[in-house]
Amino acid sequence: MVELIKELKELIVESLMLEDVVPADIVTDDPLFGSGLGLDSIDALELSMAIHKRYGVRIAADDEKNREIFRSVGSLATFIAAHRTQEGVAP
Amino acid sequence: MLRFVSTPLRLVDQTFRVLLTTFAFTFFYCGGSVLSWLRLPIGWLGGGSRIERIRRCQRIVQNGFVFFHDFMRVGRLIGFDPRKVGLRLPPGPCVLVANHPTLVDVTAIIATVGNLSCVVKRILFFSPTLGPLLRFCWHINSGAGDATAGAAVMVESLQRLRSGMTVLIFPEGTRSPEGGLRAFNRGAFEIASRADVPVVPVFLSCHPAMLSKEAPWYRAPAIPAQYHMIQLPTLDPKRWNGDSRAMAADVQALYQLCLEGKAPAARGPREPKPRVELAKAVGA
Repeated sequence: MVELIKELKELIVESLMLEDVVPADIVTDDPLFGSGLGLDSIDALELSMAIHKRYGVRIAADDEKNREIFRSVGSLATFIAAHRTQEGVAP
Repeated sequence: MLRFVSTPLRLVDQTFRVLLTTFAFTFFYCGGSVLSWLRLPIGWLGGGSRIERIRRCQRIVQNGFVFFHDFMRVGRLIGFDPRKVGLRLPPGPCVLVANHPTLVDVTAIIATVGNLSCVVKRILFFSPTLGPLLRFCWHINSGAGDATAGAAVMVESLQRLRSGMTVLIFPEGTRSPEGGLRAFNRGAFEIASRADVPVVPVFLSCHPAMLSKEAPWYRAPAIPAQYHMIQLPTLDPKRWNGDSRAMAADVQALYQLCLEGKAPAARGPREPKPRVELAKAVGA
């Protein structure tokens, strides 16, 4: 799980091309959107595509649970750990 | 004219316009119900493909909104004539973006353009008066309005564009503050970029301000409001190399210029020179 969280932070920085953030800056339980990391809806879309590519976990566009899944890196990791079909492979 | 008449007469005039505004909105919701439950179902049953049915419903609603604005113009509530705007949209589908100063921006744009699908807040889809209308005309549900709802809006918007429809999005996400702008979200620009369609920015203004987020609908300004719809130069998202964030920031800066009266095109839609200057201002 610790490994997955670290991977996810790297994935976020890489896939969203965040310029002023390094993976270690991201706090596991801080909100991803708004007040925390300040991601927006397009970031959410790109992140879910990157997650699908890497872990084979598909996050439906209209899933009511998305808000909970995308709350923080921690919640995202819990969801992926429960649903992943493949080992994380470097893209 | 009215500026020169005495204060009591102006108060009578103002009170009359408040009553007329009440009537206009009652009329709007009654009309919306008739369209939702009677006129549009009949229109839908008129045959043709799904897209043809949607277009027919959109035309019916467009005519309704033209009438609504005619009523408000003749009643001296808001001076706006959708027939006189003369927007020139690109031949194919496009993303229309606009600032959002009043409650009647959507009706004004639909009355002018017609064949378009707008991102509308979720609660209205469940409204008994307007919900069915929104569904018949294939408008886009904004979802919960938070970040995770963006993907669904994107998918639906791309679908509309592929069907040849114009998509209308207010990048501020809700009505603008009086005389100002909220931060532009980049969704509209990302959608245009992914669909590879042009962005047509339209600048809306209403003087004196009425039906804004701050002013309650029943507060009529001292003089009848004038409403303007001005087309700004069409933008190709490719200029920004798919960077929707940069594009959103640039378009927001363009609207800021319009608000400050610095953008020459804000004076009139058909002056060729200012359009070129504006195009330079945004690097297009």
